[in-house]
Amino acid sequence: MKAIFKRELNAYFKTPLGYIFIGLFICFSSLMFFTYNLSAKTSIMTDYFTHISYIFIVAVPLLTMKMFSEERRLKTDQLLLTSPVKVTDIVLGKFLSGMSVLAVSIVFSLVYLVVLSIYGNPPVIQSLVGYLGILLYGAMLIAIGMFVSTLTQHQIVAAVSTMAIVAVLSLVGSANFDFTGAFNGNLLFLGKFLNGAVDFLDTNARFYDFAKGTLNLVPIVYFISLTVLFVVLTVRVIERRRWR
Amino acid sequence: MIEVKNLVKKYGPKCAVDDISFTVRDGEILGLLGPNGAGKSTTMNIMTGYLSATNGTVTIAGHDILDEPMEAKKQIGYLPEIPPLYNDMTVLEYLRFVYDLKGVNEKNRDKHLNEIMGTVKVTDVKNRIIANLSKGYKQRVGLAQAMVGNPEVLILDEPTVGLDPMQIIEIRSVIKKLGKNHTVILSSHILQEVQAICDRVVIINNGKVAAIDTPSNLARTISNENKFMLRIAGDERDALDALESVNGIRQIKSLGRKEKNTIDFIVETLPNVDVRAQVFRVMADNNLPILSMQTVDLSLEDIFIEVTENDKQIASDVDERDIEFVKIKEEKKDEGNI
Repeated sequence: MKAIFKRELNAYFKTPLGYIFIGLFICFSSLMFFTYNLSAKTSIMTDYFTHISYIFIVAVPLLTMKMFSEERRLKTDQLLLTSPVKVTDIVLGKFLSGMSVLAVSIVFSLVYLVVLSIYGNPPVIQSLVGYLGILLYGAMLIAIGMFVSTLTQHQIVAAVSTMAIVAVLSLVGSANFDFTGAFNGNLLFLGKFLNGAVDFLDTNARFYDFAKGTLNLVPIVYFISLTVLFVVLTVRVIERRRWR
Repeated sequence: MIEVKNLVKKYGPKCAVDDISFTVRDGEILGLLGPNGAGKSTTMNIMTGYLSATNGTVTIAGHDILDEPMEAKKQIGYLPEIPPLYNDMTVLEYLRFVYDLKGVNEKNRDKHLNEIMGTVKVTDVKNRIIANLSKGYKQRVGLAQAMVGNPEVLILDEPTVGLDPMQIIEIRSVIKKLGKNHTVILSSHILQEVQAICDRVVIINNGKVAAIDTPSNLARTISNENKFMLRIAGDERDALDALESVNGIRQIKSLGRKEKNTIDFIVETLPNVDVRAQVFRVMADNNLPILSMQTVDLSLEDIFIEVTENDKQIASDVDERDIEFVKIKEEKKDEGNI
């Protein structure tokens, strides 16, 4: 696992991808910081956090699009899968390298909290919970993106699909769908079901807890369990492919 | 060392590998020979654990590739058809990565890697980005990758494909050297290659094993007729007349003139009859000097066509393919009567 982790991390910084991710993240978060903290003249970072997550729509595919699609296209997966390494280790190595790039970006953005502490009096613990939220949310999206990249040999296909999925997850809540209006009468159950589905997919609602600075068990379990689910699915897809 | 038993691989209804079995002995160089799409790569991919077989087993040094993949894979160095190289790394970085990936336990990593790079001659490009290397170098880096950790078994899928003739010769000699202390399995559709390197050959066609034997034995089993080539200085008609008087000749083919004032023949005798001494005397009596006489062995190419197509017609010297005219005894007789 260590070898793969090291290689992947190196690859992020040998290609522009790692820099683009970190750059995008920093630019966007600076903008959000400026808008929701400096201009708004507040040291509460809740608005900063709720908006920062949108950058993942563009940024996460950068990290994940190549993960397995490129290995398959260049046939380098033949090296990985014929080496005495478990598939789980390969997947975890890649996942953790993506996570590291995200973590580095988050560390950079901690500077806003420092600035706020110098010139104001921010609720430090609550803000750190917000940062934890970004990390967990990002972890889930990276796991999803990684899973998508096992399904195709083309990184562009992987990138666009991941982008679409992340966009749906982070925007579906803001659309305020109410299906009980469209499906009433006999179809009310369907409307309720769709509302439930939207609620389930609305990751931003979960993230909002973190943004407010409250540490709730439910969103933590939600993010971690979905992360684990997609890591496991990735392993399964790769293992299944041998039997095809 | 390696046992492949009743291997079957189906892609949907298509059977890519159909009940292939063979064993590879310790320290042997085994060649898998077959046309494109015969199932060589699929067989190798199953042997290395990249694919799973629909049926059958592969055992590497006593470890089943499915039941004990870690132990089995530790014994194998694999060079797939397309070398699995990361274009963004330098050769040395890449080999170090492979070293870590395989969890190799050599005392001195860089010494081990330097030895390998020396063997396959990539030391001079070790700090170059793989993407910028020529095809020949990439292939050699691929071979180096397979050798990392000194695995007992090397499985090489078409190791010389796409190389220029000089590089082919080089890679072949490297493989031959490796064969001295490794068990090597290589696949090829180039017959001379297998003939030059391998101790034994498995001919695969349409996913089935067509034949397993040493290259020389294969040649012998299939050519049970006695055939030899003659080059005689003199007139064709005279030579044919003289040959006709020899007992035990089944057929004479004239190959025409290849050298000034000479004529070439392929002489086929009846089974278990050696007429060469007789031919010598008859030719001497007729003052027709024999410039060369040599037995015609089937090349693997002939064996290949023979085995894979069951076509009994083509079986002899390669030169014969471009014969301009073939004269058979009878025809000549008719001419003589006119």
